[in-house]
Amino acid sequence: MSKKNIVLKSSNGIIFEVEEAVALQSETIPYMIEDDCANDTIPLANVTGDILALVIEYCKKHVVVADGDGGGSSSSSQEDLKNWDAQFMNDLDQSKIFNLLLAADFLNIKTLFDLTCQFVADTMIKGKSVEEVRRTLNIEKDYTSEEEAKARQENEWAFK
Amino acid sequence: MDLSSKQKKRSQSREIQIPMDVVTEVLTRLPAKSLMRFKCVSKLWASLIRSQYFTSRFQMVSSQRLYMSLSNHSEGPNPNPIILSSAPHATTPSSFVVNHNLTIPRRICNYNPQYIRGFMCSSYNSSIPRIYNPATRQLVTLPDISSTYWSPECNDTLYCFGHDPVHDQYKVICSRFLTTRRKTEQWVLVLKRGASWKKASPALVDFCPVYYRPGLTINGVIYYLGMPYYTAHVTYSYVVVSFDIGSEEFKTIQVPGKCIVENAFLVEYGRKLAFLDLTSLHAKGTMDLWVLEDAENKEWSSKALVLQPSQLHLVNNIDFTVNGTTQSGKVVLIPRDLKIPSGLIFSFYILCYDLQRNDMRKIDIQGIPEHWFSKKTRVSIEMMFMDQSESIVDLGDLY
Repeated sequence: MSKKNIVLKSSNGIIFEVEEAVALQSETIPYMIEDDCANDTIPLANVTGDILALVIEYCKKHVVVADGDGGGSSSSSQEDLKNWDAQFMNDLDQSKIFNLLLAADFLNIKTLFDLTCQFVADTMIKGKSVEEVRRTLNIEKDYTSEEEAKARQENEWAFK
Repeated sequence: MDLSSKQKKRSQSREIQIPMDVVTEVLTRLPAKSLMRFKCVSKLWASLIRSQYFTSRFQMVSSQRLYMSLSNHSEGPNPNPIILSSAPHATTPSSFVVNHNLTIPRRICNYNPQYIRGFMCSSYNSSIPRIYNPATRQLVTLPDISSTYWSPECNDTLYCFGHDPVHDQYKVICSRFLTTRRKTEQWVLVLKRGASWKKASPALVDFCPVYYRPGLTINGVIYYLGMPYYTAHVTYSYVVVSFDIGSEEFKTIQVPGKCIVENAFLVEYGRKLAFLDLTSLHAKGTMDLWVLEDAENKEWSSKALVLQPSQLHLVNNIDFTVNGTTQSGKVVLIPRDLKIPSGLIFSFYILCYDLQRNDMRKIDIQGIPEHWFSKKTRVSIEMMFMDQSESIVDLGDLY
């Protein structure tokens, strides 16, 4: 039996052909297939080619292959996957990480979303100062100086 | 040229705007300390972090741990405790190590703190309890009770802290026996803004609370030990007082006659209340378990637990008390005298007993200061079963 392929098209028109099992890690894509059955290509207007390539790389690594014996088994051991995930995230710059986070949210790929959320939390937010977080996430300071001083005072221990 | 490319770069990175729902997901994965700091990022973040949605999401993803505090009473009357914690996510901790990240005021952790969903409640010498959240370091003293008949020297007061899962409310109950009037007063406080104590009038036999035995909360019901007052000075006959946190209904349940309450402790067994009777533990390696099968009809079942021969040496000639039940249903036993000679050195350990699987494990306590290992040291231990995840709920929003 031949494996069914799915064609995905990024926002900048780049075409990716992937096995169905790879694409179906996204909980959004099945709805798009149903909605758009006449057309074989699924357009992903929110995801650029370079980010889609990363998403597919992740999904290929995490695909659960149904083997001949019937039972499903992961293509790699849990430990290997964890190490692979860490390396995968470490190789990305900030803009790619944010775009990957948004793509994982849009495509509803739970494990990738968890991975990127945790990575952003641990490496870009957790140990940072208030000012650094504002810069990283483009947040306008809406406190007056007095209000901010008061908020700091209330949680003084957390700044040590 | 250099400048314009720089400007371009900046405007590119500014284009990525993470929507608030995704930011929320990221924030739930941060430790409490970072969140307290990031209340200063913006007003929006501050209100998000305080919101009920966020605080309940945070409670679901945060890690579970068991904490204990050790106090060395040779250091003075109110010693600075050492806080230790088990490894996160461990269902049976194998050891405790000193935790430097947790700060608990000494007047909280030295006096039998009760821990419910991230809050500690502790009362020093029958004084009005205080509530502390170790994750946010917020400390709140509850209001006074204005009772006509209370005298300040009366110490026989029991406070119990519980949570009603149906209405998501925290309540503290106070039970005090008035010697002069031979009557017990019950007071209830709902932890919320502007809260005050309300006198409860339970329609039940009068009893006095056994104030030195802490209560236990299971499934939205607080249980504690009481003694019918008319028998208090004649013969030891005990009752279990139950308080339904939601309906505020009090009930009394007779303790099974054969249960020796002086050596038996309230524990949780499969989401039910039980007594674990340690009378024959150190001599025979057996324990009696009395389970309240049916609270409505006041029916107890009993069974004898026989320790495995290979584990007998753990309890041989050592007196233990029960300190509480972990969320996974294991009972923690601590030696009455913490100095346990093993050869020439003294070691610190407690026992973790899995009632369902009849499995006793020794848990080492590591990182105790060298000078504690002397014969003069008198160490007391308070376990805090802080294994129901931490909370970032602002006490100011509750109370």
